[in-house]
Amino acid sequence: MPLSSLLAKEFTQLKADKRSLFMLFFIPLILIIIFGLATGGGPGAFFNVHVISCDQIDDPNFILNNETYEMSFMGAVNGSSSFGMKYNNTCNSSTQFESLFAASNAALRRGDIDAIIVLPANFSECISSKINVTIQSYIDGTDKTALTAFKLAMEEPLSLFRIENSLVEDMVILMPAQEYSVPSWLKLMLNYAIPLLIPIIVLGTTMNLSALSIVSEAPLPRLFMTPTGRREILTAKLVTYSTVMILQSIEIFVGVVLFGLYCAGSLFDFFLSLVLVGFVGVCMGLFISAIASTEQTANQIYIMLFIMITMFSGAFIPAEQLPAFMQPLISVFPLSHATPLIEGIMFRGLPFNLLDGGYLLLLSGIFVVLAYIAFKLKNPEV
Amino acid sequence: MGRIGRIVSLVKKEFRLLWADKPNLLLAFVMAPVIIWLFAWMIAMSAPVVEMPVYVVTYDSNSAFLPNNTTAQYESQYTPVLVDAINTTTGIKLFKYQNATENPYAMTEARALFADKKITAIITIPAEFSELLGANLTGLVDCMVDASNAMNVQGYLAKVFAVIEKFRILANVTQLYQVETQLEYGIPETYDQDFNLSVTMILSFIIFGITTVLTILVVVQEAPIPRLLLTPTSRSEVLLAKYITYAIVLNVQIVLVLIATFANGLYCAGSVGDLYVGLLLVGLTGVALGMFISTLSKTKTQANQFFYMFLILATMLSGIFIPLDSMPLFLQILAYAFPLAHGDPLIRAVVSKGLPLDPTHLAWLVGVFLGYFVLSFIVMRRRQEEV
Repeated sequence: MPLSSLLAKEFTQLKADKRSLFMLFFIPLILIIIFGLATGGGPGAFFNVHVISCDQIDDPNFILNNETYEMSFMGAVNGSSSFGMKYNNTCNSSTQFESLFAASNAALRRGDIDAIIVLPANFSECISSKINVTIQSYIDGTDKTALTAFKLAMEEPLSLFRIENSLVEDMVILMPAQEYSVPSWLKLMLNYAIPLLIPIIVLGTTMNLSALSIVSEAPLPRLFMTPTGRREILTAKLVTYSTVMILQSIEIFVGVVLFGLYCAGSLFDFFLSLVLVGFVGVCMGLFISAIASTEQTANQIYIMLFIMITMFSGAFIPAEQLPAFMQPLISVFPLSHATPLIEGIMFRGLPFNLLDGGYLLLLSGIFVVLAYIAFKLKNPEV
Repeated sequence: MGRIGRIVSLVKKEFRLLWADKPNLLLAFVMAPVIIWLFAWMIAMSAPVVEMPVYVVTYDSNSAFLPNNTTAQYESQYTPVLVDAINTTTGIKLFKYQNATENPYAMTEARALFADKKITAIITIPAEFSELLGANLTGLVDCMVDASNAMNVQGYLAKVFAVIEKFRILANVTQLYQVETQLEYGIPETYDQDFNLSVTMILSFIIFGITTVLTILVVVQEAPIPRLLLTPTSRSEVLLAKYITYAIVLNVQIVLVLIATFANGLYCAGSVGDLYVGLLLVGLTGVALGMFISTLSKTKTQANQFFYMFLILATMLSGIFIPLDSMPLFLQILAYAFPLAHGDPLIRAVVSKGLPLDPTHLAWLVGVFLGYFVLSFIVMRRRQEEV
């Protein structure tokens, strides 16, 4: 049977199942809409804090009680862009401090706030005397990145406080500039999420598209009785599902552009990357379908592979932290090439990276060959 | 045979079906613990600190003119101190140090390396740095960090700020303040911090994913159901038997997952019983969602498509990757219809903070379970089966 007839058969089959055909284009659409809307907001305040000041409590080491800088510090925290929902409490006695601290600690435990900042009794006294003062902070340690983020966030109010009070003597200020970042007036969260989440969506969608293509085809064993070769059948499926994949990729591409994609590089390169990722997904799906004996098994392998791909995507453990012998394992999974490829195009404005693109093509080729071998060895019953 | 007897027989039949399907059995009982072991192994093998390569370009020995002083100055005594601070700070390494007074193309070279991802940051020391500090004024240090991966920026900046902290100590400049930080509800030092913080995040995700995938095909793929309906067995009994079977399977799964998690060093500040109940509820919503998908789908391909859609939606709207409070209100409401938006904070609070089960999240999870449960029965009753 010529390839064109097989292609016509595949497309007719796809068209016949109207509900599935609708789902093929409805799912990426709904996912991209939810993705766009979910990531459309800007990043919120990093920390919700309670500030408790003990500055009004007498410190026996200083003759005169001084609270000159207390309000100024609180104002600096309030004026800082890094902190949200702040409650400033001042206390006059250690008993009052204990009760305020207990209430704040309960809020920290409930997750209402992320940190408590305590100004010591000698805060203003030390600053007036140019003595280093210790500001105590209690941070919710259940968030992995909380400590680093808090230390960074504190740099802003502390610098504001020093500048406002002309305490700039011997001060060293670090002026950080972020290169290759998304411009601040664009949708930051959406654009930073694209290099990881969009390839996951494309891969999942395309694997889902082809994972049942062979295993669920009932007339296949009868087709084997005709002179039609297995290679032709597989090629027809690859072409058909790749065509659908390209249409799905266009849908996803248009979706992200409409939601405010920032791309420093070429949009065509970005689209090409999506198509390549989708092609890997189709090939992986075909491989799954070729090795699975039942639809249930195909489903299970698909889910297992999808979980592995997500786990090794670098979202949980950055790839560079893994030991050298595990790096080749990471390379087997498409996201380890897709994410840097898209990042390079989107944020650095680099041209299409041939090495990453080549890896993706190689992966597709390997999965197609494996699918063909498995399909050749398959013994379907009529 | 009475109603209860019929349900018991149906449950037995479900177990026989499950037992006959070996890959499904593998998925049900082996996959989740294997993922936990693999995850723990990966974290144990990963390097705790990856050194960040930085390029330092100094203009400090260039001529500088301070305010009220028109005499050119060429001091640079604080530059070596800053370089020392880089060399002695953990997690950062000096890729190259260049004096721009001697090599005017230092910055061009640094930028080329930066674009080529060979270095992660460029620290620039301006012309008047040492002069300003020497005159008890404010010294500025410029730093460019690679922000192309948003997940890394915070870590990079923290390392550069740690260098500045070190510099303040080494150069003996007045710090004026010192921020002492104390982690509350942190993981005790004897436990692996990374494993605990990551596994807490994926526990509800694994249980929900595995239970849903296990049940999405149980109705749609069962060929004898139409014939079964010719007997006195009702549709509700068929579905109820499936629920009972997979609820029992779920209990075994949770025990296996907890064994794998505790064996790898999970620190649970709260009650293990609460953790169990939390996971059970998340799993039950997964079972109910899977059953709903299975009754709703006409073919296995559709069930597969629905599953994928629900899985991605549940993950995106879980609050794990994208904070819920940054989403529009209607999406937050939609997120509450998915179990992970409740399961993740519920389990995290029990494990990390030792809190009892949050009644609001608990009520939501029960509500979500009942919603899918009732929907699956309604759809099952209306389902057209052909013998």
